[in-house]
Amino acid sequence: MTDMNHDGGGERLRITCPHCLDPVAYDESALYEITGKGEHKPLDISREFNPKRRDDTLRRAYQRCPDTGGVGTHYLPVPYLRHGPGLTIAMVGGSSAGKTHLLTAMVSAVDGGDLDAFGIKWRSANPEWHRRFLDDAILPLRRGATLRRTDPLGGDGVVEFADALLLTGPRGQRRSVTFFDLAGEDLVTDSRTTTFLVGVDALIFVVDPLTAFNLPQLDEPRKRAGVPGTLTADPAFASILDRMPQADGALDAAVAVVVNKCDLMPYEPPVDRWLWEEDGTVLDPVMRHAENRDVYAFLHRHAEPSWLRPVKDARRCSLHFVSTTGAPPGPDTSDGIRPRRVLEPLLSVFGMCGLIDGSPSAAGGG
Amino acid sequence: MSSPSWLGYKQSLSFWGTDGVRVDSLAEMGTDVATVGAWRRRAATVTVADGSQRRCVYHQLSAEQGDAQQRTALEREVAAAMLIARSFDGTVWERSFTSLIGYNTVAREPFVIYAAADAPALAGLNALAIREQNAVAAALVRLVRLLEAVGIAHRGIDPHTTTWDGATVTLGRPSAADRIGRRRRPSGLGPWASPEQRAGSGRVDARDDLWSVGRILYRLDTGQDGPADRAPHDLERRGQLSGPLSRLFEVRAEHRPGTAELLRALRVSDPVDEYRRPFDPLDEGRKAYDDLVAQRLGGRSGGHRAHRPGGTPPTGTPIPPRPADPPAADPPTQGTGLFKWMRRDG
Repeated sequence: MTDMNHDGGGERLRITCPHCLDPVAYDESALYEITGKGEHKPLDISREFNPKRRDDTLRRAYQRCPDTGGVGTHYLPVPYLRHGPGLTIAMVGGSSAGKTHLLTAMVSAVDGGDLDAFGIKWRSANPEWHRRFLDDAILPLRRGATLRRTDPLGGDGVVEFADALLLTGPRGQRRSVTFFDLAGEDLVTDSRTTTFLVGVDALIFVVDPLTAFNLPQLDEPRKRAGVPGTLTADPAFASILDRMPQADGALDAAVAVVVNKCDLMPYEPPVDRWLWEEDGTVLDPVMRHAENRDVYAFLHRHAEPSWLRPVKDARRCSLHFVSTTGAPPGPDTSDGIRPRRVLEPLLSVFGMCGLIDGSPSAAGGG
Repeated sequence: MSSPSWLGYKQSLSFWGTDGVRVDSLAEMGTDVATVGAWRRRAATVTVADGSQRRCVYHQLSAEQGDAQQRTALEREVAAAMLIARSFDGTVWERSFTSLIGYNTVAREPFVIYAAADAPALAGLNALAIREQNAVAAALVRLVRLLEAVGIAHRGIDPHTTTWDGATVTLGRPSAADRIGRRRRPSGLGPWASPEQRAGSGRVDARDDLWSVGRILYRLDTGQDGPADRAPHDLERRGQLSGPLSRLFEVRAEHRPGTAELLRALRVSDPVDEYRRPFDPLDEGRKAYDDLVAQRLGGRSGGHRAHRPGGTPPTGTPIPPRPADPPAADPPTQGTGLFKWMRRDG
């Protein structure tokens, strides 16, 4: 959520609580510290005037979430609420689309320092959240393991929190970025989910080639994966798009459409033209346009029209060819994964949401 | 390549052909194995289901010695070989490129198979007549021009892998080929690979290949390889190389002539004028995207430019750049790309 509420002349940054999905703002009257016994104890910093000590205390402080949804008492790390405007990114796609793998590969690339080349600095919003995501998802993926769906906060399986990062762009733009998996096909329109969807800044729609494309070279992988055939549409896409708020007939959220698992068709044109490009071409307007156009044409040619709905509904959209592992499941992945182009959708979302400029020179990406 | 021994062993070999269809074959593998680093090369005779046989060369990456980077390099090679096959198979240029038979890049030990060369390598030919040297020069420049037209540079043209049967020059496997406009990855050895290619500086350019052409022509003319990093001192005395071809020896790619300019100077026809772009079934979708963007931008789009600066066609589809040389750069413009990049732009 990027809206800034002005409160008595000061700016309050509204962030999505990953536990209860409520919007929450930094509130100095609701601070807590963790005692040596691991208990939360109220923290009063109103009399702390030394800025260094104050910042240090706040770095380790927590804030109690208002919890209007009745999830139960929970606390949020203060840096998560104070770093900058929130940027909520939700992955959308069917259960086999590979969205957890893609999200994990993206955060893994960030964790591995791949954003350095674009002048973006990062740190975890909460070391505990990040460690859990690292242990449960990133490290197993790097080893080539197949991931289970994971929600470090024990979500309800519909909106699953993955990780949160504090990012600072090349010109000092700051965002608290939170990643969620959306199991669209099971989406229940309760008030929490509705509030959450209103606040989503970016949606990454993950296209599974096995269910989208009628290409002969996918028949064998389809058989191996137990996928009976292609679908006329991804029900998760429609489920989310039907519920997302629109303005002037188009989605206000930034949209990236990602054709995942391109390792299953690496030499199919124009996948072959993009899969071996280096990261960061999305920051070049001409290259970005060319890939958008190619992916759109590929979907137009090989998938049913409904797969293009996210593009048609969006006001701001980019399209990408991506491989999360670099190779189909098999002996190769035992040596680790070789993700390709996984940063592109993320960089695009960052560009659309103001964390970086579209200009490659400004972003330092060449 | 040394003479293969045909007293090899038979093994079943499963790979994908250039049409993307899986092929189950029986391969009689030669026992002469040339090992270079993690790569093994051997001759093979591949028999497919209909009984037809083909003499091949089988290049395989060792699981023990190969690494992820080399696997990626093999995949890049296959992508280039597939692009060449799609672009030129069935045309008069089909025999000008080493024919890709198939690949398996997901095997534990990935491999690629090409048809065996049926002509001698240029390095083994002595004292070619001037007329033949001219024919080889024209053919090489035309092939570099064709590859440029489909968006790639070969980056591996040398006299040991390029063959000549008296009528046709055939380039070797595109093991280092890359898209024009990408950052150069260091590759090749002097004097055949250009200085900028060996250093891995700047961006891939068709003129990388023209350096290699120049060095091959020098070798054909003199029998010597010449210095690796600079023009040979005796170029002025080499009648064949003292005219327009002398600029191929410029150390910096940007000082070498473009392929079209060079063809004009040599009074050789430009193959791009003869090349007919294959039908691309994705064009309809690209047009639909253009229409959608134009609609989103309220009719202000006015169409889209196809080329990126530096001349790389935007897709794997062959789009001959003509007539500019190097292809004219279209400046990045606002309004291309996303419908809108930023919330408040446009």
